[in-house]
Amino acid sequence: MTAGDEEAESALRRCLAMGADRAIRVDASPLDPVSTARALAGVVAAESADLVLTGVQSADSVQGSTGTALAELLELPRVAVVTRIDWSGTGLGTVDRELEGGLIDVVEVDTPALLTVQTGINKPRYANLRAIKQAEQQEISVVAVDAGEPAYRVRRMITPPRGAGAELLDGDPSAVAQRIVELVTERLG
Amino acid sequence: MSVLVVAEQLQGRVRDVTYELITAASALGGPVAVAAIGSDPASLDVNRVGVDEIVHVRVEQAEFENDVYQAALERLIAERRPDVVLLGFTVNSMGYAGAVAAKLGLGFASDVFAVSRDGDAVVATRAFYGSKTHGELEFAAGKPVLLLLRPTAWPPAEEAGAANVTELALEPVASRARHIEFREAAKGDVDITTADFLLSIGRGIGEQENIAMFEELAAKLGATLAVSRPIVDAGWMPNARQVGQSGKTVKPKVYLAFGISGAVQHLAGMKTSETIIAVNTDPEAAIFDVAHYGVVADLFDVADELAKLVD
Repeated sequence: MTAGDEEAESALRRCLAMGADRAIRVDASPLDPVSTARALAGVVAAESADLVLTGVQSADSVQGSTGTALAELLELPRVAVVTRIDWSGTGLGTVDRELEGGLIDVVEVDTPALLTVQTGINKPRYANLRAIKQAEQQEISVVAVDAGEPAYRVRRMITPPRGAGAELLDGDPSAVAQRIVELVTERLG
Repeated sequence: MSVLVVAEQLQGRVRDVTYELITAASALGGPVAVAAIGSDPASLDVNRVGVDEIVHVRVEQAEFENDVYQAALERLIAERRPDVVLLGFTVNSMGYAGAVAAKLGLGFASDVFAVSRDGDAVVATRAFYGSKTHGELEFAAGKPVLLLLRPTAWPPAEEAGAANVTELALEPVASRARHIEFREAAKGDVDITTADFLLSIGRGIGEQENIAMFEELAAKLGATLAVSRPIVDAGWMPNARQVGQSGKTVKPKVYLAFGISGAVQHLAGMKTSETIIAVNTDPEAAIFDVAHYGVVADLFDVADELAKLVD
């Protein structure tokens, strides 16, 4: 399940090709994580899932908060930034939470629960050609929702100056490599 | 503009980001209150210049748990009615801040690296689309704004202060996700935090087969090989080699990066290196923001030439 416009359906089709049984697109493109959670909440609640999995953060906004906000709206226990899940399907689960610096916090969590899952938790299966073809034919349910008021107003977007501080090393690869070796030798002292 | 900071602690130690939050809070004008939540809040040293009040919130749980911090923050907001609440953009905050914002209908944004006031409004700046653009977000006055600030974006408040200490009573919290123990990530064969010279590789190297040539190049150059998160996620190198927020923070004399675009989480772990040289095909890569020397080129061409030079 995802929230987004029609463009988001290609990602859902990849999920179907990789083994998902159904896909749902919530037709809303909220700006902020709390609004996104509101857009998703009713549809997720209707599934009555024992475990709700979200990513930690999106690649474009990196707010890291949609899953946690969603858990609150669903009144679910939750753990954020999970790198291991040990759960038999009922009762308590045990999960690893990855803290800064790689320290692991082992957490016991009541279920049903929502976990925001860190990248690298496992190796995604490959979608074979047949599955990709099948996924193209599969229907994606589309649900319209109202996400309500955004959590902020965007005053303006600006393009930051890029690489302002970096001195660019020009020339062909061998000249550049020569310069790098010189710099390294000089800086290592 | 009244500001509430929630101190972050781990195993009884206040984490550095807390002092950075205090710097950001005092710049907003104050008064500034810092909440110390824990089983022994008095042991948490958050008394710094710029802090007007330290609120001790005593709880049963010694270590961070989502539900405990959420209950404490909701109570703090109800009683202190701050205009702005500042937390670090950390794994702990990601566990409860969004929940509090959703429940109380607060203004909310995370990974914020600049905050200012404009009259009664709060303006926060954060990056979008892989740091390609920055957005200035405006929060109207009238309800508290909860902001998660990017670690290392503000200097830490260092000088000891003279804040008043108060207590806030909180009934016991039935926590639904409970801390059991801490485990250190598996120790690797090397310690990248002590190396003078790191050769660091990222997603740009493309294939697992290419790891070997960079291992060889690192050995020839006398460098230690480090990696960014995608390389660890792919299972190509162990976590012990990872630089960044979820890996190690490094400060070598020379950091030579190949094919690392420079996600914020990566930059947080290496931007204070003495000399940063970055090679990337994308002239827009964010790594060039922190690099001292940049090379916009095919990284394999440059790596090949380097290997020839040091053969």
